[in-house]
Amino acid sequence: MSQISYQIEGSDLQYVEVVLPPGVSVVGEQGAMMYMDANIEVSTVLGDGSQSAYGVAGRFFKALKRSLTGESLFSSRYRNESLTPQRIAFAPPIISKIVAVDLAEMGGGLICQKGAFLAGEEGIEVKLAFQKRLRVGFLGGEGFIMQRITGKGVVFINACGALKEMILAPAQTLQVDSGCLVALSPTVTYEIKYAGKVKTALFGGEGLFYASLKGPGKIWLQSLPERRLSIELMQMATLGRTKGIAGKLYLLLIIVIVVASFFAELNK
Amino acid sequence: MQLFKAILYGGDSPLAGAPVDVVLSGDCLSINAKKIHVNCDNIIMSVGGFDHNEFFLHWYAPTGEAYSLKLMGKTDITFIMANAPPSLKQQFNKWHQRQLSIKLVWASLSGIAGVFVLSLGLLWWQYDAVLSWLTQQVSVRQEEQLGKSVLAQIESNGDLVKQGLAFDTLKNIGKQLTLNSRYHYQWFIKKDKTVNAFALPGGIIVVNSALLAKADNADELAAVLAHEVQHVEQQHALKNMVNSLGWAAALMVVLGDVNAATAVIAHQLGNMYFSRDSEDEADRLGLQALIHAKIAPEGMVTLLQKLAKEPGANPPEWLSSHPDIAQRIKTIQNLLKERPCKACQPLLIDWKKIQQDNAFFQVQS
Repeated sequence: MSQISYQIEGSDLQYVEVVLPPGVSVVGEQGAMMYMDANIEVSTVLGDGSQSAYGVAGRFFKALKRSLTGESLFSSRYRNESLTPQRIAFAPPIISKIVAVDLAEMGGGLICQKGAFLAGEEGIEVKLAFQKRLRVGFLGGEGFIMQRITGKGVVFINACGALKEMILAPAQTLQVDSGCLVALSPTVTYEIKYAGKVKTALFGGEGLFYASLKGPGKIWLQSLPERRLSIELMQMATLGRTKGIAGKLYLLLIIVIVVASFFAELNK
Repeated sequence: MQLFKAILYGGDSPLAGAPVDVVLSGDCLSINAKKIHVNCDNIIMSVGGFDHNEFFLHWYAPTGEAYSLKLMGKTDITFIMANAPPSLKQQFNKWHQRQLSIKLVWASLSGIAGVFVLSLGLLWWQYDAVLSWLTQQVSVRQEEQLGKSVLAQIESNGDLVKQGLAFDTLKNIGKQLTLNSRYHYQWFIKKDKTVNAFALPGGIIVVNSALLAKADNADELAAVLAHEVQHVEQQHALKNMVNSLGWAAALMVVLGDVNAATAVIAHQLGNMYFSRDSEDEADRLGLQALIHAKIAPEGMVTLLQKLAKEPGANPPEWLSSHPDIAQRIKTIQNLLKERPCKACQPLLIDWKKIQQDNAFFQVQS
């Protein structure tokens, strides 16, 4: 059973408030702390603060590997030093929702997309999960590196958009647009399937490949991958400069002139 | 009857699965604790999990409910492979193939990366050899064109002298030094008050008039020519260009910055200087050429000694890309001591007459 109790607040932009019983600590992503009670002591730890069989060098190497998964080299540990429960809140740095995952329920392990970890009970480790299949790494939308979160207790992960939690029955398969996968049980098979329709890929706006997730296990999906959001914002930022109808007409005029002069050149 | 441990998913087992004992007997798979009995014909196997190394057996209960059995570890898998009924055995091969293909892909990838790193190391180690090989691919004609384009700029100033006694002497000494060369040498005197001489790719050698005035005898002029000829023969200018092109390309790849790369090339083209190594090489091979042509090589030392006395001729060695003159003199003297040239004779040229020649005075004006 988890030692902490928590409450996820907010509707679309969320933060999580954790209540720490005396003597209990949580580890959070650096800079994610939003507010905390006075009797919480903050310390900086290398990586996730976990021990290594190879001493300091081993701990540093672990932290280095962890930093490849979109986390910082150091994290902050918040410990309740008083005799009364203390509150602490974490807020993710991007427009995101938070889900709390009890690792005991997941069989002790969880695979997440890069940078998904927000906070967790002490003792939880964030490791590097390397995608061994080339096509999944290149086309799956999550890259070659993901996070493998192991240990006991509750971990908070965050992702952009609305989050959908789903349980896949044995051999049940779900087709997912690449990039929408947030987290999955280690037993879920993550594969890439070829859509087989070039026309759809070119004109339908869907990719040529999609991710296929096969049970048994639990998955979390996001409605809006950050990359998709950033592409939209970028387009708005660059196209938005031509304001109003006049600018567009002017552009059209230029295009018409260019095309016309091209044809004139051809017919010479 | 074979018993092994596995994790069961589906049915009433929890999300993380339930550890169970499985019995494989004949063509039937039984999980006694859950009262499950499956015919092996109905079992489909698959390889999956995040690491693509886990072995699942799937089947559907008569009620339509889906079940999965995850095998634990390699020993169990090999155990089942040895004892499974033929209907399952065929499917087992898939697991092996999947493992092999992943291994093969990563082995070949790391092989390619290894070859790349190795060739980079080899390039670093054998850089000079690679550079020489690359410059040798450039034909003499192309080199000549390159030199001519630079010469055209100098010529447009109208300072080049192509006749007179000094010019003829220069040409004659030059010819002695460039017998059997693949280049067609052209010799020029330039009206210039700085004591200097330079070589352009393709065999164009220009000597400043001030250097002729500074030299005390024809041997010293021969020494200068021998040195400059080696810059041409060893393709130093071309090597410089290839070198900077290579650095520019590397910069472009690493920084992704086209401007930096262009700056490197522009800097290189704007500077016709040679590295210390190139100068040393030209000194050493120039000396050999002098000895080969039986011209007294001491001129090289005496001229450099004169240059060393020029004001501002000795910037700190680490600041200059040219080797320190004192250092060069010492190196040449050592080489001369090792291999003194007994057959060498001073050139029988009336040097005073050349310096008093009309054409030469015209140059000086």
